[in-house]
Amino acid sequence: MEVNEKGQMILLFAAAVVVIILSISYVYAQNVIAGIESSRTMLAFPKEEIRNLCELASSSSTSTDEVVRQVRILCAKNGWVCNYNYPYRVEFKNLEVEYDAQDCRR
Amino acid sequence: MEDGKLSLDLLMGLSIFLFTFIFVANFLPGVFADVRNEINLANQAYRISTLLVEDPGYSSSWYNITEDRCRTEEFRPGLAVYDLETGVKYNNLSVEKIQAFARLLNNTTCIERVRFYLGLNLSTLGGQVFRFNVSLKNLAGDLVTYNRSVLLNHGDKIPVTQVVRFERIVYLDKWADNCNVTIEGQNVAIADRCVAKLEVSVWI
Amino acid sequence: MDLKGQTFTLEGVAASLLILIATYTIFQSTVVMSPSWSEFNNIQLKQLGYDILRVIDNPEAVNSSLRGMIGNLSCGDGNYYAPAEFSQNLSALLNALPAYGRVELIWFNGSSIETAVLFNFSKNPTPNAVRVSRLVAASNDNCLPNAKIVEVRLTLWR
Repeated sequence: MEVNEKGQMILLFAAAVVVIILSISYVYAQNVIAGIESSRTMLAFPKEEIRNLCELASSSSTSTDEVVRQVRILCAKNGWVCNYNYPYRVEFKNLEVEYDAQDCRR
Repeated sequence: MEDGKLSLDLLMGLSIFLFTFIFVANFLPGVFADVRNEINLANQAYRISTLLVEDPGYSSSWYNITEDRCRTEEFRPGLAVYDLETGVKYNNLSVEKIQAFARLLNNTTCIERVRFYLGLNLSTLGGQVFRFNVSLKNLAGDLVTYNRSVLLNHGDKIPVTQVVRFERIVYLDKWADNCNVTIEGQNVAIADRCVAKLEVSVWI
Repeated sequence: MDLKGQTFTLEGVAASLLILIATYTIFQSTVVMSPSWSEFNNIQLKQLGYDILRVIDNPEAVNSSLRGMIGNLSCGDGNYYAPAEFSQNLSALLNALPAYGRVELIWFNGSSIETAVLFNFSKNPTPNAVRVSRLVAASNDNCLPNAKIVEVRLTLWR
């Protein structure tokens, strides 16, 4: 019986095109993920909140038990866990960041 | 196999020719690179404004560097006041440091050193070189003057191409000439401080 | 010379050119997703908000700072009035940005968390507004009972 060898080129090129499309979409997907992640980091770190706590922790009049308790409650309403001690000891935790410093000035 | 409509050697030859053509085109500088790197401008503007407003600079006496020493000394400009007890006073800018910064930016050699130490000159690493302009304006939009001379409006000349600008609200450690606002006919200092707006513009 | 099959040759050229340009562009391109222009505006507004709260938190100023505002707050009929100096200063600052603002005070009254809106800064924000807050150590036994520290929340929009 004779084997029909017609149409091999078309199938070969079709297979090549499919492989190219798959690899391109893989590379493109990597670019998209990297782009999204790198743009989120600018908004994610709670720099100002931690500095706020550091300034509260720098003076003993704002580091009394009652003030710290109220700060913890107000932080919790925003979804953060915070605590601080005089002098300069600050702990802050939110969904993305965990911050714990013995001396928050450094 | 010999019944194919396109000759295989023709396609191979064409592909090799196009590959070579594109690689040669890639070697021409600036044609393809410029379009990609304009995405970075916003990041650079944010970074430079944060560096100037929230950092006291390195070393602690960087503002004493004169125009002839700027080529040899390593430094990083930062305008925030540093208090020995409480540390960095964020958003509180020192007029002395601003004047030193303006002096350095006025000198043609020193502005390139400042550009390098701010991380805007990445040519040695095979990257972009950014141009920048920094200005300090009061809340009405006028340039802040101290002892009747403009404090800070220095850097490269702002072009008409795409420029990204980042603004910060700051307050100075000394009273400038025009930092007060007019509220109901009276000259008022916001929160008893000399409040101003620092604008950092970055472009390629 | 055999002139047959020229169209097919041209099709081949076009196909290979298309695939090569597409491959090259994808592999060499940076995806313009980071950060998008609207996100940059949010970052700018949010940083300005933090800056405003920090600048007007002057421990030495009497009436126009956050501490002074909280200490000299007057209240009645469920409205909270900040001293006129503070309202004027903050309005001038917001006009200079330019942006609209809404100021809320949040405190703990011993058993629950209460919220109050300043009378002069009570406009409703748009959906794309940003919110920044600062904890200020001040108290007002009259209007904010049992509060030793107050969270000042500034909502900014353009």
